[in-house]
Amino acid sequence: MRAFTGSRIKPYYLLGVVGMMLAWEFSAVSLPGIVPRLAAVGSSLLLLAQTGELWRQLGVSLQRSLTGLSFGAALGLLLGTAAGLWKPAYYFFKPLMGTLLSSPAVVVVMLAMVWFGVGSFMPVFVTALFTVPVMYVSVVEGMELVDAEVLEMAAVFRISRWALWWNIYLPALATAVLTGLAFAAGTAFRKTIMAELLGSNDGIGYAMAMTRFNLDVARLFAWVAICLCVGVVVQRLFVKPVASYLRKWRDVNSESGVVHE
Amino acid sequence: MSNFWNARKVLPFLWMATGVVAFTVVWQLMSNSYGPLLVATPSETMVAVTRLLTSPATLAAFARTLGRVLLALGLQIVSGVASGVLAGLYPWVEDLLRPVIDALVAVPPVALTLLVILMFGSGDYQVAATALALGFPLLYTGTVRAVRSVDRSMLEMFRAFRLPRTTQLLVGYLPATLYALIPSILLATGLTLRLVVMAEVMVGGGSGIGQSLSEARVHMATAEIFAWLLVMAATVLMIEGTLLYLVKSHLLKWQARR
Amino acid sequence: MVIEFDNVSKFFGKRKILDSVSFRLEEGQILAILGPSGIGKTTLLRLAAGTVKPDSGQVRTDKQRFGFIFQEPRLLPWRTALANITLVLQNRGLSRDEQREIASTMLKRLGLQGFEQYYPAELSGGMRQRVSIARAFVIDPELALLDEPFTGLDIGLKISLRQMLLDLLTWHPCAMMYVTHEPQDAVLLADRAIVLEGKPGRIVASMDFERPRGERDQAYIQDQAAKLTSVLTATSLPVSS
Repeated sequence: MRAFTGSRIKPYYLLGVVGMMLAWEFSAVSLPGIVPRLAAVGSSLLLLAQTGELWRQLGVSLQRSLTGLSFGAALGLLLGTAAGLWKPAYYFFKPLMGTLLSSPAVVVVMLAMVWFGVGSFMPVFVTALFTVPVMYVSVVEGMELVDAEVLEMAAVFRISRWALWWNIYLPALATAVLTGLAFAAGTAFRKTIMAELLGSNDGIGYAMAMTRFNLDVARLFAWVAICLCVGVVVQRLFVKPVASYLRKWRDVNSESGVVHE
Repeated sequence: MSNFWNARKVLPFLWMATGVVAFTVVWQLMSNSYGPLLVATPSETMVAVTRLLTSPATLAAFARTLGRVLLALGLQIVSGVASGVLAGLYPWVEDLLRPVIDALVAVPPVALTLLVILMFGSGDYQVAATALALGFPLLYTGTVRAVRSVDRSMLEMFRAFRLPRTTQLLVGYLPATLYALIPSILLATGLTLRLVVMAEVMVGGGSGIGQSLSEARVHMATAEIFAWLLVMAATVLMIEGTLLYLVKSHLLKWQARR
Repeated sequence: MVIEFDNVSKFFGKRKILDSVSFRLEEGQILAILGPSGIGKTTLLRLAAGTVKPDSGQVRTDKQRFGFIFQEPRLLPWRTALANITLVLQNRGLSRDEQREIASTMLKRLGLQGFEQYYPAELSGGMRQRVSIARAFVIDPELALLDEPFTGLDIGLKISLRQMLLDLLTWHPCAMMYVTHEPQDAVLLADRAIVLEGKPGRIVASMDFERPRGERDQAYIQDQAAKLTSVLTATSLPVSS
């Protein structure tokens, strides 16, 4: 037992994974024609990889996510900095950000489809739009840490305006941007997939929508598995490290990515 | 002194109102330049809002969606709290459930919805099940954290004074867990509404808000879509506000008065 | 006899923190426990209260009511001052009104009348600790266990709370184990002081204050406190070098 607890992967985690696989196989056997066997999903996955479809669609979706993410993050950073530095701006943007955060993405996708039609711009637009509030909130929260007390300390020690920016505001901003990017990365990918699924002619989302018409559940599972990989990579590589770093000195909830559909 | 406090209370609202007015103006300008067909005007949208809130058909759709939301939310809370308490008390349960949670967190919600539709068809339970599966991790992790946050020193106090285990659960664990769980429940409410609407849209030919939205899109009725957006945002705000109010006035008196 | 420690040892994991501690506390006796921090003084109180069990040796007591006063107040934040006290009066066959009556009398005795319906967050640090003292004494304890209850409070508060504790003892005489690091405290309150020292901690010195509490004048207190201080510094010297 002791030897296991020291290692990084815990035995019960593996047990959980195995249990999930077994449950899947069991339901596949007991519900034939509804749930595909693991092997069928595996061969679908292999086929996707061999024909190059996997890499092509993954590339398209990732590119759209990243484009949307960069534009949305830039705008969120801009508005967030303004709101962080000047309280009235914070209240000014509050209704807009509140509406955006509580709007179902699916509705925005529909609007965007009416406006921009089906194509590459629509998913990028939706992704960017939903990245803005994530980055905005992160930056505003980050700047809030530079509170009146820190500024008073700076004033008492006669710290120059330049040094104030360099030593206090910029580090706070940098951390906030990092956090915002990590949390927005997962969101961005989800929104891209959703937009593609509802109205695009390529990308992973589109490929998923096609399986619906072909009733190819195994292929759909294969795509889901790919999304899962992307999601896990984002979680493990960006969200978890950033969250655990931040938790050392302030309260963060690492489920921030979970609240976006 | 009293002027100072008033200014501090009133100014934020003034700025928020300015924000609303400014965005309405921008909205009006947009609809002027792109035409009311693509961007419905604010006044058209307001008319659509009243139409939504007075027509029996849309009210029924609204009620249908809310019913699904409540069903899914209730199931999320029950299952999330039950498994979260176990995982909070026994770390091996947490390890065991971690892969399931990881998968549910990592999977894009649309993909899971599509899977459910493709395998089990569409209907009330399917929509609720999708929302349940996708909202579950939020309440589960919230509960795990809440249970862990119960102070060990508090438990020692209960033991030192020889208080019975039921008292410890009811007076100690329950309030502590509920309090720590409130943010998760608030987040889950908005999330579940969005998930249910998404599932309804994807099911197609279903019912509820999602169905109305799909029809509005087909008819390019942007006023209707805008109106639903506003109604949903207001609904989430109202539910959250009511919950917060109840919580603050009853459970959290001890904190609010600070 | 109130409680007897017989060759008690305690481990935390592999580390031994208490080594064959033995002493005996008689009815009405007050024992001061001194020693450097981290020596296991709090563990001694936990062993007495029965919230932890000894790894070897025995803690013998036939008492049921232990009034624990922790270093921090440890009040439930979601209960008022009064409700925090009635909490420990459950299962004593008292009606709700009786519980409230007893609890508010106790609060009054500690100078907290009018604050019954306040939540801990609304009280000052000293007031919270007074509620905690009230909670411990409201059960009419057979043994009171105090874990440096006045650390972190300012000197004025410390003196007034100490006086309150002395007054309380005339109303509710009981045996007491009192963990402190101030020799003055020990001489003011206790009949006997023991000093813990070393790794693992064991009793290295014991001192009786023979003169009754009421008759201890300033000179006696200073004299005894000085003696106790010299014992403390003498025993801690080899450790710090």
